[in-house]
Formats: sequence, C-alpha cells, structure tokens
Amino acid sequence: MSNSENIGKLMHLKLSKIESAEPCSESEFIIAGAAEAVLQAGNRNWIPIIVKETGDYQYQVVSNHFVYAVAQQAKLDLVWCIVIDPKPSNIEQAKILAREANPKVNLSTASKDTIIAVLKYLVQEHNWKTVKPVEAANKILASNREQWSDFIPLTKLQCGLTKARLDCIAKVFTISPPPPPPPPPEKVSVKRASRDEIFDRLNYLSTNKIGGFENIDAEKTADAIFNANKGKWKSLTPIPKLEPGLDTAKMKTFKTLFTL
Amino acid sequence: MMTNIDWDQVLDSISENAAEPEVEDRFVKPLLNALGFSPDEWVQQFKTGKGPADFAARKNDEGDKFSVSKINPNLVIEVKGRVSGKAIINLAEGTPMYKKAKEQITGYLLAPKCQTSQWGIITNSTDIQLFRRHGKIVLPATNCMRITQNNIIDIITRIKKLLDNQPKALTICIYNDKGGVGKTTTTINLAAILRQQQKKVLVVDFDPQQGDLTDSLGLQEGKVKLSDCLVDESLNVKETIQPFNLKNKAGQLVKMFDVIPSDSGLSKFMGYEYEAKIEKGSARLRDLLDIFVRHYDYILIDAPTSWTFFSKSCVIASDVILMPTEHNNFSSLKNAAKVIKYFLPEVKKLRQDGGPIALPIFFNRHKETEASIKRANAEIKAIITVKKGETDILDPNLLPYYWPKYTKAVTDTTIFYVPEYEVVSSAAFSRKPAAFQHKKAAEYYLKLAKEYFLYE
Repeated sequence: MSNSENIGKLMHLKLSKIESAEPCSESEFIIAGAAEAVLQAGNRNWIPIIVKETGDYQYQVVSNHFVYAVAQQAKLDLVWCIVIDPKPSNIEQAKILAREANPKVNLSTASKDTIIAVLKYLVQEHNWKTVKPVEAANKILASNREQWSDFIPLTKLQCGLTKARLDCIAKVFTISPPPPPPPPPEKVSVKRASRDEIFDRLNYLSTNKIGGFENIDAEKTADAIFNANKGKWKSLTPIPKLEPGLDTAKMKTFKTLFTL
Repeated sequence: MMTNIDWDQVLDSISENAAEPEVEDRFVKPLLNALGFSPDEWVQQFKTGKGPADFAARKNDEGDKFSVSKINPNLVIEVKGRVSGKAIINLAEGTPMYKKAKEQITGYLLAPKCQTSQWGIITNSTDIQLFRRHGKIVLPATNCMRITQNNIIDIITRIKKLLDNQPKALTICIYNDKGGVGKTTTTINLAAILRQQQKKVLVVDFDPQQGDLTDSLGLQEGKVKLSDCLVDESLNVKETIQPFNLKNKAGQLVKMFDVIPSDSGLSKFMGYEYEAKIEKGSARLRDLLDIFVRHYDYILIDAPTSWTFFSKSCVIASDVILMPTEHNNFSSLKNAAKVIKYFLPEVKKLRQDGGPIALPIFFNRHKETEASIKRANAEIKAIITVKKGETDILDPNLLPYYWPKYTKAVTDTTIFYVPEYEVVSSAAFSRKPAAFQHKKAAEYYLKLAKEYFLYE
C-alpha cells in the first residue's frame, strides 16, 4: 500500500530514523544557540524538518537541514517533521521555500520584467557595478535568445555580463528552448478504451489547447463518454448528444485521437 | 522463470481483434508459466460443478499430477477475448463485461469442485484482475489492472507474490458509523461460534474509549500494549495477545480464541500531538496485523463508532466490513449507506488493491413484526432510491448491500437477521459470550457465520 497517509501531515518522528545526505554549513555557535532555544521550549522545534520517505519507516531530510543539525545538537529523541510527496519538483520547491536553493528563471523565455528583477538581484548580491539591469535586459530581449544553447552569447552583448560572471549567472538562470508539445497519444477506440485512456486524450487536447478543447471539462466529458451505452453505436455522432458532450465543431479534432 | 518470457513479444503477438482462443493460447498459457505452473499443472475447460472454467491450475503433489487427476485446483481463470464476434469486449472495472466476468469467477470459486481454490483471475489480455476466496467470500486481491508493455512484468510479479504468500485469514471489521447496534456483542459471539467450528480466531479491540469487548471477556491489557506498538516498531505485537480461556468439563482451562485488548494508552491518540507519532497514520494498524494473517483463520476487529483515526484504521486493515444495523433504528440504516458510498471508496483509493468490500447489512436484535418490517423496508427504500432523469430507481451501488436477493425478476427484500434474545446482552456480565452458554444464541450466530462466511 502506498504510504500517502503520511504525506503533508505534521509528524513527530524519531530522529534516529531520519538521515541527511547534505551537511549543514551553519556555524557551530549558531547551531548550539538554536539547540538551546529548542531545549528551552520543552524540546519542541516549532519549525519542522521537511523529509521524504525513503522506505518503510525511513526518512531523509529534504530541506530545513539547519533544523536537523539543531535537533542533533540538542540530542532530541523525537522531532517534528512534515513528510512530503517525493516528486523531484516538490523537493526542489521545498528547498526553494527554505532558501536552500534558488528558483531558476528560463532565460530563453522569461519576460523583460523577470529578467530585470533577476539581474537586479545579481547586481546587489555580487556588487556588479558595470551591469545596468534595464539596459542588459533590453539587449537580451533584442537578441535571438530562443536559439541559445548556453550563456556564452550573453558575454557578447557588451552589457557587463562577462565570462567570469557566468558561474553566478548559471545559479539563477537556465537555458532551454521551449519544448515542443508532447507527441499526441495513439488513437483509441471509444468502445474499447478505459476511462483513463479517454481522459488522457481529452486532457492532451485540453492542456495543449488544440481545437478549442481548452474549454471542456476533460474529467466530466471522459466520464460521460466512458459511461455511455456504446454497444449499438455505428459512428461517433452520438457524442455531441451526451451530457456533457462535445459540440459538432470539435468532432474533427476528436477523431484525430479516437475511433469508434 | 519469468525472465524466460519476452513479454513485449507476447503482447505484440496478440491481435487487436483476438477472440477468446487466441487470448488463451498467446497470453494465458505464458501467464501460467510465469506464475510458476508447468504444463502438467494446469488444464483447460475445468468442470467446476457450476459450468466449465477456462483454466484451472495447481502445483503437483507427490505422485499426483494435476493435469491427470484434475481435482482440487488452487487457481481458476476466466478468459475473455478482446472481441466476441464483432463486439469489442471492455473488461475495465465497472463495465458490463467486467461485472459479468466477476460474477462468473465468483460462481466458479464457490462451485462444488473448487472447494480448495483460493484464487481466481479474469483477463482478456488487456485487463487483468486477481480475486481471492475465503470460505463463502470472494474478494478482489488486486484492482483491475490495464496491461501495457511497461507494467506487465510488475503486474505478473504482483500476482505471483500474492499466490506464493497465501494469506490464511479473512480480516473482518465489525463497523457501523452509528453506535449502539451491537458491534461488540456481534464480534465476541461470532468469534465464539467460529471457534466452535474449529477455526483459529484473533479478536482485536480497537476502541479507545470503551474497551467494552476487553471488559466483557474479563481481560486485562497484555505485557506489551497495542498503543505502544502503534508508535514503536521495535516492540513485538505478538506480545499484546491475551488468550480468552474457558474451563472445560474436567475443570481445565482451554483457550478459546486470542484477543488483542484495548488498553489505557489508546485514548491518548485521540489528541493530535500523539497521533502525529503514528507513522503511516491510519494505515499503521494494517501493517501491525500483517504478521497474523498467515496464522489465524479469522481476524475480527471491533471498530468504534464514527469515522475517526480508530475506525478508519480498522477499515483499512480489513478484507470485509460487516455492518450490524437495527430495523427500528433509522440512523443505523442510513449510516451504513454513508460507509458504502463515502468511507469505503476513500479507503479503496488508499489501498489500491480493490479492497476492502462491504457485506450486506443485517438486522441485529431483531423482533419481527409485520408492521416493523414494513416500516424498515420503507425506510430502506427511501435510502437507496435515487433519481435517474425524471424517474426513481434503486441505486445499483447500494441495492446489493441492503437487499442482496433483489433482482429485476424477483423483488425479494429479505434481510438477514439475528433475533432478539435477552441472554445475549446480559451475557456480558458473566464474562462469557452468550454463544458459549446458550444453545439458542449459538444457533443464531452459527446462522450468521454461515450466511456470510462459512462454506457448507
């Protein structure tokens, strides 16, 4: 059985069951001081450690490594944690929210305002006097940044973003040309398909905004099609009559992914 | 053995319009091989005594080849084609074909010549589901799974693992969201009667507040407390067990059944701070009881009223839910519908193995009069009637749990009942289940056990 019962809950776990893959770089004196504060609060850490499950009754720290270091210093037996769903994107988010990782901005697609904001952050953080965020952003927007495969072209824009600064830049920007829409799923027969197969295809059309399908409720429409009594259908024409159905204008697109 | 089969090739070889014989040859035969059955360990067209099952299989015993003796199968399989004639067969859960196949496999598993069968499979090579039989109960052992080239190995591994680790016990949760319907009395008397039928029984009292069951058997908490096991995996849950003994005619103490008593520590988990210590939350009890499913024939869990951590734990840990109701207690009838419509789907989603399932309700402490039956049936009708468009129909999702014998042809509204019997409730003071003391009580509960569980 999945352990989803744990997920999202504040839990009081044995510290000995939690391991950490990353050391905490905070100074000893701060950790010791924080440990003292936790002990004085009756061994209660009011800011939880964020963990993921690595096996049955086993956990690993995802973020708030500082609190983990403090709990160890304080020699706590039980520590308050939140167990999160271990999807990579969730782990990344937890690190970002704990300020243990920076959110990254896609330089290939970001808006001008976003680029200015990020550049302002870099200028302030590193004291880059030669970079003028607005000017640099204008130059980036005027470039063919969608085609870039790395940050080297930045250094040729004459805006103070030199080769020596690329390491810092790579910590906040990424480069990736916008991905093409995923390939369409295979055609299925509406009579044969499972409810999930119908939903996946409607959802594909809906999320990729194909043929006006962005306006449908893929869940309800999939239910309606799956539950319809299709035994006697000779064509797909009964579909617009379902509740909720699809208007006839959408049937052409519908037929690209469905057969009878 | 599984590694010998190229499943990509197997699946590619089955045509989209494969009829039943093609699915049998190209899919089911390799499947049997992968599940560990050699060619002389299965037969086709097995006569169950209630129609032929497409396949039946069993491991050979010494000096007995199943393909020759053709008796006592362990597994039966109902195969469908991907099409039949020109009609496409969709076996996804909930479709009419699925319901039909499920009915068929249930029929075979309960047929005279399948009394030793423990497993049933339905498949058309696009979908597959494993069922398990325990006494009179046939229940899903996996959800109905759609087969793809990506998951076929996982599906077969999952089925094989279940077949190789046959659980012995049926875990029954006695629950109704409404209190005062006799859950505890039902639990101890059912335990007593199952023991009289030579079954090995474990009773779990998971009621944090009352511990009525523990008290009524005159038991104390054990060396290790269940409440401590919930938070500490290093404890041995076997040490929570207290035997319920009775003196035989010679004056010797004889063990009747085992009990995991309620303990003083359970109620603290009603507070949030303690509940936060239970890893896996309400799925933890299921983990704890897992070591017992290969040891007992029946595990009965007495669940407390209302949908809390405790009752949810009991339902998650169970195979089937037995719901006592009272014919003159409208809430007990209505709340059973709540369990079926809302609580069980919630747990099924979490479990992902098709379980647990509800059993049809029964009337407890029933005093039959024409008028009261009429009233109860009118109330039930109101509970299970839904609108379909403009017309009223009986909700097919509720009907089988209230009027299991009702069909379109025969409007039979019989509901099983345990008659009212004064000594049953007063037996609690004697620290002995009524079914052990009074012939009549024993008779009533034996009927209950036979109605739901025991294979005759």
